[in-house]
Amino acid sequence: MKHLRIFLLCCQEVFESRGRVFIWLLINLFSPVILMLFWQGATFVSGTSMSISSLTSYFLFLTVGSIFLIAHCERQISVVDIKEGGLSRYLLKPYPYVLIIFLSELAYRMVQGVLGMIVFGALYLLYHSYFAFTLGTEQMMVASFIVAGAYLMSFIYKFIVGMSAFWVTEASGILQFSDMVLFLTAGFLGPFILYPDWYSAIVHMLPFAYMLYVPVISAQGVLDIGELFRVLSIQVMWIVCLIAIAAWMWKRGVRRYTGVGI
Amino acid sequence: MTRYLRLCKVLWQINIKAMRAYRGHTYMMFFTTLGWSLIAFGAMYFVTYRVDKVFGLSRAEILMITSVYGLIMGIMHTLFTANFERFSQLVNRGELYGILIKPVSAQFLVSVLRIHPLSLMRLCIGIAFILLLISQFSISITLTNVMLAIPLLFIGAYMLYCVWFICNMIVVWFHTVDNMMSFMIQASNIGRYPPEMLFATRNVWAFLLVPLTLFSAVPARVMMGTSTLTEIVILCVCALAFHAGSQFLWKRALRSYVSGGV
Amino acid sequence: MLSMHTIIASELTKSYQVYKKQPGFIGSVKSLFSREYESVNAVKGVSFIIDQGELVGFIGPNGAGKTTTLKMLSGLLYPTSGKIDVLGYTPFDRKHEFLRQISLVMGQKNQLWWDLPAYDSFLLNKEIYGVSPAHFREVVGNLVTLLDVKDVLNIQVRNLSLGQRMKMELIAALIHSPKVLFLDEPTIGLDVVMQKNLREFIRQYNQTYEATIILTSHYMADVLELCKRVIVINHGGIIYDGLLSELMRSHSSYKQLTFVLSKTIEPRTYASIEGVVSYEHPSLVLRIPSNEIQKTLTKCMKTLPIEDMTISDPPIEEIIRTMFQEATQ
Repeated sequence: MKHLRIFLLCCQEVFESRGRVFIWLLINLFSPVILMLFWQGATFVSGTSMSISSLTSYFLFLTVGSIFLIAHCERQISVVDIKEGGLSRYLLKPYPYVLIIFLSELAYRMVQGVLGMIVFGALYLLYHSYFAFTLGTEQMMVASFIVAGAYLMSFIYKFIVGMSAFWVTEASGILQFSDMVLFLTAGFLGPFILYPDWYSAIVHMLPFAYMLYVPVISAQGVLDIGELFRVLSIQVMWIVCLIAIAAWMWKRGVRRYTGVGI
Repeated sequence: MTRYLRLCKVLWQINIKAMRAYRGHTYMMFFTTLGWSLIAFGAMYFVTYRVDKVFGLSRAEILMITSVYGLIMGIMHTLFTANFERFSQLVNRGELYGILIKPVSAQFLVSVLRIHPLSLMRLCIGIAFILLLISQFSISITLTNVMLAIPLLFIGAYMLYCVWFICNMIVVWFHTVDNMMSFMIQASNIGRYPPEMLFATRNVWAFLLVPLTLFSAVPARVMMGTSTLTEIVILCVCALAFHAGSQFLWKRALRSYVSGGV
Repeated sequence: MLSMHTIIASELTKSYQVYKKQPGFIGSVKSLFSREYESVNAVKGVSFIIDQGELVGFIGPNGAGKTTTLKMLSGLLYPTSGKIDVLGYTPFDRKHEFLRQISLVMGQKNQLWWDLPAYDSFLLNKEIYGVSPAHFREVVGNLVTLLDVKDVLNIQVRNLSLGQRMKMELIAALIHSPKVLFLDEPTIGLDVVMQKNLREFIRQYNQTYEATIILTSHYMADVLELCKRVIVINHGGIIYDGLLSELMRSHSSYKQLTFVLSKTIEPRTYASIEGVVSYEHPSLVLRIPSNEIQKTLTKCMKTLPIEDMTISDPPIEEIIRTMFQEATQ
């Protein structure tokens, strides 16, 4: 009940800043929609196993996926809470800081997600002739676990990035580096099948592809049931690793926290 | 004019000193700026790896537009990005008074008080990438074309600056919108793509975004000798219109400014 | 037409639209679609005239409209209605000639570059205000000596104490030798020694340069030491504008008697004496009308073991507090 109440309070906070929520929605929508338009006019060199319809549905799913799945808590944690001393008020309360951030993020994701689904509906109406969606019931069930796992991975990763501020006075460089890595390896630019093979091999060894790219192609129905279970097991492995890193960083980081603020 | 040039010189010196205050952060920012500069070009290079044509434009032309986009973004990130990112903080914390009280154009101070010298790297990498494209794709470029393209480059950059300025003024009325700059950077990414992409949608909303493609496409085409007089005139007219808009909106914004915080 | 007065404010008003949120989750959902706004009058019909060289205290409780008035006088805010004339200019036009002659220092804000020594911010202000190198050296040299901050001139602002930072803020604001200085709570958060130093500096600056200074402060010691004239503002309107001494005289119809007693007394001993405010041995404090002092003194001398006594005016804080309460009622 306590968690629900806190979650509802976080939702209220999101409703108060409707302008900011709307702009975040636009930020998440813009790139995938523009890329989708870009690919509408592309003709490929022979031998490329990619069609306009599969690209279009990839970007449509990416539009919604990037809104739902990519957490944005790292600046709140690194700047507002650690650097400016806002963390003090949470440390004094008998409620885990990570849960507050998680519920706050979840509120943002859900409100934006609802708005994102409306936009998805509008885009579907415009581009449904290009839309390719082949997902069976069994695949849908496993894909939904993959989507949940992807959000959890994204949140823990961003929490880790935010906590880097315990060790550096100015974490904006680290945050930018993280944005860069995510941009390159999470599938924002397009399906990895378009890139050179060595590039695709490298990104599949990293966790970022499992935060956005893999859930998107799972939802598209590109992967069969066996591959979906394999993806799920890789996600579980990454989640365990990320939780271990986050726990270690929190334990060490909190000891360094000075609560000075600016 | 001399006074403003002297002021620019002092601002450069101060910003370089401020950059040196945190060496670790500066080194990190050096690598992330280098990374983003390379990504700006490299991402498009890889993404179009298997592409033959897009909206009738060859891969070389698309990459040239991306390179010019990178050049212009180098100027923007050097001079303006940090200032606009700070703008919402200035408004919400009532810190704009420090700028408004000075006997210098407040618009000038708001726009260039904080400079990011490391972003000049993007300019250098942009030039290097253009030279690489010229040699790899055997693009024919004359000195006359380059001389004609340079002023258009600055006109495009100024037009983009006016668009950023206009959009960031929204913070004066909608205080919670502190992510407008993130959106402007996303929206400006459309400058990597040709205007033909938006025309092909036959959608009114897409047409509104056409000026955001002209700032890079027109100088790129002038350089390659493929532009038309109409495009050049449209770019100049758009720059003038946005200039007038930014002046008008700034005056309105100052009247509505309520000096938040204490 | 040149004005004879430095500052003329006439029927100045400033209103804000404030959003009224309904409580609870349902209220938040409703706020997504429609919001109720309330108009708040921060300043209502304020009028006053200030001449050159005056050092005026602008006092009032939190939310009275002091800072809003100051911001309108300096051109930061556009008045909803009314007229302002500062040095012959309309502040909101923000002409550069006007801005070169004024300065605003806000005690709770920071104008200096955080990661650099204050001297670098001074150099920037020198360029902005077009101060000649010779004048810059002279003024900064004088101010640094007056405020005794020579040793910390080249230390990063973020590493300075609050008092040092405040001094640097003042220097940065005075590099161009402004004719009008607006000080918004300049001594807030400073220790008593630093407060005294700053007050002394402000007084010297006012006397040396004949600068017109408007000072807002919640510390009555600032007002008592510096200001001959005060403007008291509450709920956006002026409730007093005149000499501080007049204010104290007209509102101090009461005197404060403080007795130091040689031995402890029972409550019933002083129960018959009117106007007892507090008793904490050895101090017994009474507050009585000025015209009853003799009668009360005679009675106390008979009933109390008095060792020492003082008769004083009530503290200014009490006078101001009474004024605010009366104005609210």
